[in-house]
Amino acid sequence: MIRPRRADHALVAAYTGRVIVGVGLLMCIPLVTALLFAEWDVAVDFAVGILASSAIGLGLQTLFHTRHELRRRHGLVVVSVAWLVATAVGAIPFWLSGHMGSVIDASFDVMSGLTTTGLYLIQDLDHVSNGLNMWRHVLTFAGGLGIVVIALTFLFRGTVGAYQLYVGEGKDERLFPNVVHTARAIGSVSLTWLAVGTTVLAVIAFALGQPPARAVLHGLWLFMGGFSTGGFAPQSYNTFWYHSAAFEAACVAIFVAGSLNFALHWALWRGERAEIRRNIEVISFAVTFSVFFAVVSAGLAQSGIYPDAAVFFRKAFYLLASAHTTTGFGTIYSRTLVVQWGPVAMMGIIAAMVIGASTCSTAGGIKGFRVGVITKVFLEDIRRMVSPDSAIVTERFHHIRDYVLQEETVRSVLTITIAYLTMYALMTLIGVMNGYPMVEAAFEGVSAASNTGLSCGVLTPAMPASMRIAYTVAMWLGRVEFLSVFALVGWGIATVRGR
Amino acid sequence: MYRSPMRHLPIALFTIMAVLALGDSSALCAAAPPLVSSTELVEEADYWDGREVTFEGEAIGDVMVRGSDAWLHLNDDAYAELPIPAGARPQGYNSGHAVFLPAAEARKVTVFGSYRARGDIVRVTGTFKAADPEHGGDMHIAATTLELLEPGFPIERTVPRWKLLLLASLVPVAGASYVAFRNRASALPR
Repeated sequence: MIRPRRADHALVAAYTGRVIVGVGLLMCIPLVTALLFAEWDVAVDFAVGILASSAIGLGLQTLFHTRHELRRRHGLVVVSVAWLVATAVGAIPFWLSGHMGSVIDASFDVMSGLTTTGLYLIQDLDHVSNGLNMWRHVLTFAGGLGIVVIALTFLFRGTVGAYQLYVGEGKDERLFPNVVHTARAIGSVSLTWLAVGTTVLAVIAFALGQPPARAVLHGLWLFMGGFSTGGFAPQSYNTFWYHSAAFEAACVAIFVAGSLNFALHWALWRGERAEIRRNIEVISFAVTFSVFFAVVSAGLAQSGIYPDAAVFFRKAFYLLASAHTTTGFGTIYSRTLVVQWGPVAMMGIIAAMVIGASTCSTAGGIKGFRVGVITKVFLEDIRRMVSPDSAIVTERFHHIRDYVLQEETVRSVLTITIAYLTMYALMTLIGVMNGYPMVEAAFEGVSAASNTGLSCGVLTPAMPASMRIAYTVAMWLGRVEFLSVFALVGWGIATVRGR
Repeated sequence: MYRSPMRHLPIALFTIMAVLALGDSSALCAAAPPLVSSTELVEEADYWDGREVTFEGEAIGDVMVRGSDAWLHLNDDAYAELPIPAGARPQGYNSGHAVFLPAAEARKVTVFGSYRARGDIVRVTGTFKAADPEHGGDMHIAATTLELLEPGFPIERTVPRWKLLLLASLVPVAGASYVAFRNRASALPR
């Protein structure tokens, strides 16, 4: 084990500083919002946040100025540290707002936003300022893109090491040979969706009876919450607020789009429409969605809550799609899941959250790609069993291009899948140990760890602090897909025990 | 000693009067639907489904008029008294209920709860629907009447002095960081 040198630590600190400056720049958006709506108190909160992040970010870059390129291990550690420091800095306006019960809660909400989870501990959300609501949604939108992707787009100039940062944030698709160009392409796709999606939602909200300014703000925020598969909403009622099938349909279109791999977006952007029916992730998602829809339907049929078929479909489809894309939008009260939907339907929703959506998207969970690959391995083994000994059995899959299933891919897929399943089990165990019923503990724990954000009422500001911290860590681990956090732990051990 | 049965007459009359009075008061109770909380409605949805209820809370956000009817959201949480922007301490999540009512009734609400205002406190009476097929299965109260109990009020919020001091103290720190960063960057060879 090689002990990191002083220069290595300096490199990590300097790059972390750049990301922190990026977080400070993002705070300019809620600052302007607060000024536009004459929310002076809130504007001061964001000015404090901007100055603090500038001081920390620029200070780190000054103290540890370097022109060295990042290597793989630096990149992963930078991402881990940057997410932690960004969480701390991003929590400043939350804490100053007076809406948070503790610093733990403020950090929880920022981590939830950045990781596009959507669980929240903010209190009296229905009286929150426009500035703070803007920050909540900017966080989740930026987190969906990846704060490092944003930093890559605006603050880095084509460095080789930038790819390490990009990979460390759970993204591994390269749309272009240059990773900064890839980051900019992701930005372009997302901003185009932002313009279209916000317009559609705002027009519907206006037609539903909201005043123009609120319709525009709600349209923008719900787009950010949906496309990032974050699930934040400006009211405590979430998307139940709107009571509209049209609004729900628009939300589904947006969060499903957000849950697709950016490489798939890019392929469709270039007119390669056949990709949508050939891609392993899309096929995997379609199959698992159908299976879980049957489970949820069985549960709801058992409870008899929705005798009308159209209503039955609308409620079940919306919540399951929201869960499977790890969005977390809902049109029912949290406790309705427990009180009326029942354990079978909840198990269907839990299973959808466990898997999640696509790799290199804004979604969380194990991901459809890994489920697809595991299924292929299973099929390959069956084919091998029934084939002659001399036969060479190979399995192929399509993901932007055709691949032959390699052992290296399988190993990496299984490692991450086992890590996710272990984390889900641990989160459930923590819930049960704190006295919550098994299904409810599993629902909430998986929701946090898969970055979904649906709640059945377990998460409250009164929940034990240990659980709130455990959920925060789970959201972080789930979002960066373990690798960066493991690298940070390894870095720490090497610093202490390495030679 | 002979005791006339009529001696029990006053007691019997009193008992009859009391029973009648009780019956009358229960009739009155039946006329006024019970006051329920949002938690009761969600936790005991099956019990309350289809029953007449009374619900009180702060009107939040906005009213969404749909033709001759409207959607309104009433919060019956701790912040209905005093919201956090008005100085309350955090006391848990918001909780409330969706109400579907005639638009004419909904228009009685003039102040809606937000960062800038504590909304009107109102009382609605109507039928609780646990999963109304007419409204996509949404849980709500189909209210027929709305009564204004307490008008809302604007929230005046000034910037606390300590926040201004914090801001003022951070300006030179951030400025110094920026100057040092620029000097360091220009000093190093490219």
